[in-house]
Amino acid sequence: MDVDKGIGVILPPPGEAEIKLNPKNITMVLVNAKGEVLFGNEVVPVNEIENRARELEARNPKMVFSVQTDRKTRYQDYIDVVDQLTAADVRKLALIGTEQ
Amino acid sequence: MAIKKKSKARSGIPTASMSDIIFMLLIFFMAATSLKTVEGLKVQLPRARSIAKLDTPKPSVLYVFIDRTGRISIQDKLMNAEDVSEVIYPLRQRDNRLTISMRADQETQMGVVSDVQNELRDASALKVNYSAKRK
Repeated sequence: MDVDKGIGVILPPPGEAEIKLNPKNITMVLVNAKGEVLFGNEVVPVNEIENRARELEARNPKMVFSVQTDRKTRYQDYIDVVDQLTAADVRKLALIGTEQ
Repeated sequence: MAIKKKSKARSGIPTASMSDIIFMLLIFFMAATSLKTVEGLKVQLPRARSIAKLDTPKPSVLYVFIDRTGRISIQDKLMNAEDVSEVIYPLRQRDNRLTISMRADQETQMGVVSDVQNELRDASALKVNYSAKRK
């Protein structure tokens, strides 16, 4: 029998109201249509995200990782990024969705 | 002298072939029955490493299928992205443990996935599991 396995996430609650966060505590993770990842302010290979995220979280436990994608990003590329962040035991993961 | 004619013909049904017939029926039904017909759309799930077993009990899991062309199917019904929250909202009201198992194809574009996620947020169904296969 096939057992349901996957990556569990909690979506942000509805409402446009942005929770006030110190910009220092947010790391933007952008995934473009080609699957390239902008992590903070630099382009990072996907398989390095785990280590980067661990480092940042060790330095600042309040760090929130916000993942945004393009509307044309492949689902697999997005899952790769979420997978890396999950592997790094990121506690605060915000899935903002696509950028307008 | 009365002739006692003893009939040689035995009454009753011969049962020697009964097991053959039963086996044949059994094999037929085994071959013709599938345990559960697969619901939803045909998707090729993405691959990931850090995957865990879904811990929500089965009745509280709702499958949302999105195939590579962007079609959305919930409970075997095709629908548009903007109708998703309407379908999910009553289910979420009834069951606050409701977990969405997102079974999207690895080639799906994030636009559709994101639309569905926004609908899920509107319906307050915030617990989502991205269904994936082990790398």
